Amino acid sequence: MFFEVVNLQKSFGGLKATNNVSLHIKQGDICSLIGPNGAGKTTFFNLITGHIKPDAGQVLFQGEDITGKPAMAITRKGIARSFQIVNIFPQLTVYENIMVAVLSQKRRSFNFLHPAKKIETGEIDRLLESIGLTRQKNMLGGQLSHGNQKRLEVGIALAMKPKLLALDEPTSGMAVEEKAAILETIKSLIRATGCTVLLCEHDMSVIFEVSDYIWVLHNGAIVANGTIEEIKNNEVVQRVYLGGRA
Amino acid sequence: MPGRGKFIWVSSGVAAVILIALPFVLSRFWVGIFTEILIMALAGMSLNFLLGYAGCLSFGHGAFFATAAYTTAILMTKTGLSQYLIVLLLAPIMAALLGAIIGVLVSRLYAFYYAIMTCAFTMVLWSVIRRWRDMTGGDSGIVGVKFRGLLEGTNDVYFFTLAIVVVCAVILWVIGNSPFGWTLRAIRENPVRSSFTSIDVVKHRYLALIVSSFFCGVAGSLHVIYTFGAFPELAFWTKSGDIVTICILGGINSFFGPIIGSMVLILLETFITSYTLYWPFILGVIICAVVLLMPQGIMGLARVFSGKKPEEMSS
Repeated sequence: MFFEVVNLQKSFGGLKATNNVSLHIKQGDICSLIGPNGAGKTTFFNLITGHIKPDAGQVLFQGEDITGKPAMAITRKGIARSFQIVNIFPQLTVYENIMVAVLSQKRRSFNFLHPAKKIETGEIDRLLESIGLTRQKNMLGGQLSHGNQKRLEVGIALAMKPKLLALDEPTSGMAVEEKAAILETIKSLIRATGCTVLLCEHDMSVIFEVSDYIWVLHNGAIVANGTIEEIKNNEVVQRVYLGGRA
Repeated sequence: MPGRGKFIWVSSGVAAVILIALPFVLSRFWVGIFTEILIMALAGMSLNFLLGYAGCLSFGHGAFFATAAYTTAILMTKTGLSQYLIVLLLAPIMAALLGAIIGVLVSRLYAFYYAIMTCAFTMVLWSVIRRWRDMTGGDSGIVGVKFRGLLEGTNDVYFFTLAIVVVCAVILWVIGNSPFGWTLRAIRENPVRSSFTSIDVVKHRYLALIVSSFFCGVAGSLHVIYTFGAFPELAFWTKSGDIVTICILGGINSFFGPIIGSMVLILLETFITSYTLYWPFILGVIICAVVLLMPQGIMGLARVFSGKKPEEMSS
């Protein structure tokens, strides 16, 4: 199995944020994780990407146990993540944001001698083109519009050449047109790079448009899983999340 | 930005001419003052590498300055070593070794905690220096260090210091614009996102401290030529405070900030102490004013006047 989580648990004080969660992702799939606010989606993302350590359970990536490893190591193994609340390098330009990620991916971050801005310019420009930020390359990250900051978010994650891309609510806070645009961008990027995706979203239209498989989280536990049709027709899901309608 | 590049070349050229012509125009006293300005500018640039690029506020750089100064003084007086150029290599290495030791303990710390720990280290070093009389001369320090040959006259010392400081500045500039330098900036901006970009945040901060302490050590060693000795006050926290002030005054987001900061600080001190004893009070007011009114320092203010954003880290 490409990516597997077995009986993952995490509590914060008395709150069981992740309650015996098990799921799996097939290589090449776009797998979605949905659930109401407070279901534990971001905690789950934090656990599998190394931001926090689980209390119990296992995370297996391409057969390797990566449970509890730090973010730096997990990213190195091929899992890159974008954040729900924009988490870029605000005082660096768009170009520099991507540049830093590319240099790190190429393991050149300890290089003392070469001028950084002359290295890998082709690849950085290509990445900027693919996330649609070529015109903004000299703007400071913090000055971008929210939608463009989200694009930059995804861009930084993609610069790591991930095998598994974990997108935490990539369209949150966006207007309808912006959502459609960034979705198209993400879809074409996935097609181009062939990476597997774990997507976490609130917007059901996004989920139903792209997902190959869906897992439903509620109060920290998986309550349903299946294809789009199966989920749409699932009673538990309808009650818990879709408000009784498909 | 071709206009910008030209501006840098022209102003560097003008500065170079002024710096080289200086000793032929000014009195010995002022040449000495400018020698000190150059030394403290280098100390400031070394701290700014850590502070401006990596975002680590060290309040203990006096420790590296003092370590190199004492290494220089001890090697020149107690051993047969008289070739200063070798000492100039060994003393900063000692400072960098101290940086490597301190770094193990502080590289996981941030902001206030980093500042306090580094400050604590320099005070510990100060105590050790004062007590280790056999090695360091205790409270009186080491005096009467002689430099023969090329480093005897005031002008010779000035030109030697200028040459070394320029070489170090170029090296720091190159490192600052390397992938390592940009990775440090990313860490300063967002250490969490950096680790999610598989950057080893702790290791990079550790290395930044070692680089910074090495160049601060060069400044400390040059200081011995200027003062003919090494003294415990160099490790007292106020020296570290001076170096931080130089960076903040000049602008931590500018490579040339510490040079401006050093010039302003030392010139102000020289002028004001000739009128009043209350220099520390005036310095305090200046620091408050800078922090409250122009937190990006003098270079930040200059950028505002030239219509650019003060926060961008460049030259």
